[in-house]
Amino acid sequence: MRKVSIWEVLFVPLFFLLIVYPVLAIIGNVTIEGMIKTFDDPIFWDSVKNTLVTAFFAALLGVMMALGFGYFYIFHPGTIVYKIADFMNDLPIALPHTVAGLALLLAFGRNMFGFIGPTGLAFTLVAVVLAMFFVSYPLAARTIASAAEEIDKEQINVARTLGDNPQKAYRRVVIPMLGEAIFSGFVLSFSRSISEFAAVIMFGGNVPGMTQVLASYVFTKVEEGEVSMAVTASAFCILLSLMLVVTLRMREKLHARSAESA
Amino acid sequence: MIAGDTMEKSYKFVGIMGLFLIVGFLLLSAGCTEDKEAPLNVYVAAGLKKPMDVVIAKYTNATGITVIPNYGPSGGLYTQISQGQPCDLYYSADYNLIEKLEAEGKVSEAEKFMNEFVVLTVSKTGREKGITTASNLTGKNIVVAVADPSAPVGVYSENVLKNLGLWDQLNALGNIKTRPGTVNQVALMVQSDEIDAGFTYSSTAVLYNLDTVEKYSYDLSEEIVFGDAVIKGGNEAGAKAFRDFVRQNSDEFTQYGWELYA
Repeated sequence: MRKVSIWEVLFVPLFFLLIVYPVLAIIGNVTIEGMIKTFDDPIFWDSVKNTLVTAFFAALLGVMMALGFGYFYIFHPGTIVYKIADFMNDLPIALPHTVAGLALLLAFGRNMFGFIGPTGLAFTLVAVVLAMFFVSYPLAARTIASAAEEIDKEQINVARTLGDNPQKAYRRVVIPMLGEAIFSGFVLSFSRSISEFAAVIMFGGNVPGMTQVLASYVFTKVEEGEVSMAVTASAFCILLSLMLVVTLRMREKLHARSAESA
Repeated sequence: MIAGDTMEKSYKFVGIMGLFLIVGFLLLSAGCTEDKEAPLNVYVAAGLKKPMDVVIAKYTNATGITVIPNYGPSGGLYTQISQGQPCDLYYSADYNLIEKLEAEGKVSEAEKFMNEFVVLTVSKTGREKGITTASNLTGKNIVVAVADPSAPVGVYSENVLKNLGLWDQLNALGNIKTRPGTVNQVALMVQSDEIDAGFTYSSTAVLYNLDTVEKYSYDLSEEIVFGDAVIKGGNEAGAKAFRDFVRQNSDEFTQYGWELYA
């Protein structure tokens, strides 16, 4: 008989109690009445639409920036720019998110960006994207940096000796090898963006039907005592995240299979 | 032999981690147990923080009793008490929440403490745009903040605008650009001149040194009463003593624009 490790004994019950059980508690509390009320609310669908659009662009921007960070990591790791970026990358994780919202408001509000409009960049969907990007970028950057670490430097050197400049080598050699990491970086920052609300409320506007997102819709419903609607909207959020995780896994499998057959 | 060694080491490691966890839980839950010398747990609406901190310091100086304040949004504190978290005394920005606790049988003694009012505050730019009354808010390119309905002040402000017949017009114009989560966020936005006008409590306006242009009667906003409630099952005698001390020091509160309940 196999000896059962202490890790298994501890992990399995704790995992189900602390991670799975709370998620099930939300789903178990969904009621038909709450579903009808929520799905009948046009504001709910507006917030779903806003969330999907803004989180998509936030994740896209996050991956682009992370690729920029990866470029410095591979070709200019000795430079001051890289060292500062590496040091500051995780700053948004450590910052309380209302503080992040306030920082963005003061930085991009009308006092600094008043030439764009009566509120600067604040209180628009662009602001929502920027707030989501701010909190999710570190995840994308970490994902891509750790994948870039795995890359065989020899291959880049070969490309370089064959006459590629760094930019060409990055595009033709590195980025194709980062494919998987780019995808998971995107999904990670997309999921993180969906769940962000403190920074989004402060900087994005949170006006129902205009700039409100799903996370702040849920928050408002909880505090208003509309628990059945809040539970339905939360379950919807969980479903969205689950779909993303499943997509990620399916892609990984497909990728592994095509790698095997190759 | 080597395998056995690592096994033993990992058991030791897990054992130590487990011990830490257990000790941690015991320490955390120690706060819940009742004791004669136990400090007083006071849950306080976040808006009262500044004067309450002063009164608590005075009380500890005079009696040697430690008071542990838990500042938060009144609704969130209500939920914590309702779910049975240890609390001896509760200060709410919304008397309705105390009535809800009474209905749940959680309150030993409750009183109305102070009156609060909704005011319209304007920023530097708002003043330059000539906003002196609520009907000015429907002008062109005016940027207004009304707190999210999850904060009581958001509901009261909506009441004011609805009773003045301005609510639908403002929404159609899109002049309400932001629905911040708390009254303090509204105040911050006015203070930093990121918006033209915002609805806050009169005490908030004093605390943040804002330019108040209009104060609304209860006919418009609905009665706003701050209350205190001694919670059943806690240190009731200690809570009553502290509550009486707060009342003796009510000038700490009235200097910020609250009025004693009449």
